[in-house]
Amino acid sequence: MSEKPESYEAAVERLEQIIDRLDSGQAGLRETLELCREGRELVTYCSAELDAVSEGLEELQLDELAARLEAAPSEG
Amino acid sequence: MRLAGEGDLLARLEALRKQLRAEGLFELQRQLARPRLPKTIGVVTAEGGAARRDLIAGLRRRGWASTVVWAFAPVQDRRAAPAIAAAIQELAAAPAVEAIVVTRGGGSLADLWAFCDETLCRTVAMLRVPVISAVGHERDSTLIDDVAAVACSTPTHAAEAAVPLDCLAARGALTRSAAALQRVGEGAVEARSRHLVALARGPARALRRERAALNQKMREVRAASERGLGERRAFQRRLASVVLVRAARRAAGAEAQGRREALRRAEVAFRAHEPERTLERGYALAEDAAGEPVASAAAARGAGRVRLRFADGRVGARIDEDGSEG
Repeated sequence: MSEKPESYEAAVERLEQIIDRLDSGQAGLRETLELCREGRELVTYCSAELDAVSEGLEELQLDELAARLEAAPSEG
Repeated sequence: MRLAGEGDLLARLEALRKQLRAEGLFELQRQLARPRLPKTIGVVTAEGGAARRDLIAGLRRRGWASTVVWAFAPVQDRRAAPAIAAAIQELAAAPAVEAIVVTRGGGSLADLWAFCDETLCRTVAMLRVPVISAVGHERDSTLIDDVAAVACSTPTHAAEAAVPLDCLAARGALTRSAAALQRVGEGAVEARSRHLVALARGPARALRRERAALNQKMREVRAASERGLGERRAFQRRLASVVLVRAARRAAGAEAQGRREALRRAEVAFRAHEPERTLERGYALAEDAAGEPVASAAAARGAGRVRLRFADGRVGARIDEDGSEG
């Protein structure tokens, strides 16, 4: 995985393909190591995506969000 | 009054619905890509409404715990529609907001009429941020439901639409995937490692085998070499003896030749002394009756008769004393 996955679902779909391929036992050593590396990266990506929406529920008022955006305009 | 008023509202609603559909405004929001895991969700609702609580409960059940931006607005009077439209626009203007939920509890069509407002609905239709509507109950149908990206029957459903991915289930699946990946990956590497170790032992075994074979060959070569040396010595001894014999024979041959020559010369000398040679020159040999030579006159007288041997034969003769020539 040299590029960021298109989406969480795309990452999970690719991860499942990788595990199926590894489970098949048909991958050679080089491919196995490459697939494991790619799989770990996908797991890391997916985990980070989940972590990003699991940091705790934060409730803001619209004006609080506006104030926050003004304080850090570069942040999107 | 109420029935007539509602019928009137329904008629206006249908006309408006027909018009907006004809303009293609129902399709715009549905074509927007909705994030599966939005980090920030905007919500327009009444500040004290049950919808707020239900929505939060729905998000928690999803395992989602990120940022909710509330834009409270009146949801049931003449001021409601413009306020809701303004709130939605403000939320949409914040780049962090990835989806907007508009919700309120059930009521009559009149109660919900703000959500059928043409301006509000055109605003929603034109937004580039997906709007999820959850207004009224299941059988209530407001115009905002038609123009929104997703129309839900309850705030709980709106929570699921706002966060399409069930984070709890996804976390569990991801953990299983990571474990499977580790198990399969390590298993593959371990299996190959064992194979490699076995292969690595192979050359050592082969080396030991070859070394043993080589040592055996060396022993054989040494033995053969020693045997060969002995044979060579024996051969050399045999060769030397043959050479000596031949030399002896050569030497013996020269000697025999000398002997043969001496013999030939003796034979020639001997033959020169043979009586036959004398007889051949005209002499005769007197022999007695027994064939013994009669070598003197006295012997001849005594014998009385003799035989004379010539080269070409013998004749008898009588000794005559009277014929002596004295």
